[in-house]
Amino acid sequence: MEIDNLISNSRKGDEAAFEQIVYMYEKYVYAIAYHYVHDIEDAKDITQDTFIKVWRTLRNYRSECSFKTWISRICVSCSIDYLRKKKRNTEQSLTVDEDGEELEIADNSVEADLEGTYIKLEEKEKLHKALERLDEDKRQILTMRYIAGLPYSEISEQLNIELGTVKSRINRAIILLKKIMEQGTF
Amino acid sequence: MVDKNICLEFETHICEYIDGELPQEEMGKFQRHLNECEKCREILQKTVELTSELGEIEEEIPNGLHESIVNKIKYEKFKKRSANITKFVKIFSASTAAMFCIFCVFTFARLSMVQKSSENDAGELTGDYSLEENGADHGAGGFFSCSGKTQLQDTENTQSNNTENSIFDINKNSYILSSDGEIQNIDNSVIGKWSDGYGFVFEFKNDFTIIISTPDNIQYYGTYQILPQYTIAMTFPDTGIVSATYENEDGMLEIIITGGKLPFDK
Repeated sequence: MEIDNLISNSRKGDEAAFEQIVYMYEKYVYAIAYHYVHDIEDAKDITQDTFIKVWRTLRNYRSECSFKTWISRICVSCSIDYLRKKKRNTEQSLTVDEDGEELEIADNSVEADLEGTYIKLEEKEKLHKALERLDEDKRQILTMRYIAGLPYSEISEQLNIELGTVKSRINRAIILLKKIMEQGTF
Repeated sequence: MVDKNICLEFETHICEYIDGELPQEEMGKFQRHLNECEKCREILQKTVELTSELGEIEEEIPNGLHESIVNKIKYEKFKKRSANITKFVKIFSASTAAMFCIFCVFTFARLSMVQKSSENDAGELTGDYSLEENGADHGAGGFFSCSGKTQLQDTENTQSNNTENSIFDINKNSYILSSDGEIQNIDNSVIGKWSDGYGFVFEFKNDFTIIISTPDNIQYYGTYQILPQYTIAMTFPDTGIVSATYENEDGMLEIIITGGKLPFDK
């Protein structure tokens, strides 16, 4: 069924139609949430929150943007709210890469033990792992820009930071991500 | 000779370049540089590939997440329904008091309201209908009423997603639809039943008034029709079709609300 029909039926309270929408977008939403918060359980909660919000506000959706973009906005917004509420301070450790650039890495000893294994991972998995190696700010901004596909202006709005800061953060994050990928320092 | 400073500059703006976020002047400068610098072209290509890969990322969702989302949605619906029913109970009490007042008003003052046009005898409701607020507390779930012989007023259009108050008012003796599913005469004698005890309040007035009000936020969707019938019957089947037929001395009014579900549906 076309997405427009599914939206229309969902607005009328049709749970089956909405379940189809969930099927269509749950992986995408979960990917945004997961790479934003870097935690499976948190990502699950955010994915649920996102779809509940989508369900509640579906009648507000206008076709000015694609439905996928609309959902991604909601998901990013839910992720930001979730982290604000949780006020987590567990991801903090810091290392320095070869060039002396600060490379903040989440403290995860299990992942460190598996370092040797990651070398054999395929590109896609490498990318996932490389993303996980980024500090929170960099990972979040790349998630917003390239996974959720939000424009710079909207990221600036959501994070309440200057547009110039958004640009420089995205650049720095992508350079670092490339470096991690090239060096294989997962 | 490649300018190394531009190489560095390009790398620090590479995402803006890819995303078209640079001023034209800068874009031109980097484009010219890219024509000359193979290293930067390679960097650009790798970065484009990387950002594309990021855009294609999807994650396998953990087991049970889909079901969990669906259950949460069902729970959301249930919560809303429960809230509506709770609200209705409150509104019912308020409405009963309000109706008593209206009854008095109708009895002693004999207020009349003007019908601009009548219904289509055997089809969908058409034409204009007058509407006057009857003084009840609309904000607290009161009602509007229409007067005249057979009128139907839909406070929103017939495809409304959020019909707060739908009042159908024909002049008739006074009956009350009780919350336990009975249609009672003013002396409490039962004249009919309805299949579910929630959602609407009916009052048939001595001066041929029927008022049907729904609590706020009840959501149903569909069309209204008026058909001539001679029975008193109300059904609320699981299909979400609601049908209510009323008798009066001059003819019958049947109201059929189709499509969608009422808050108390199974």
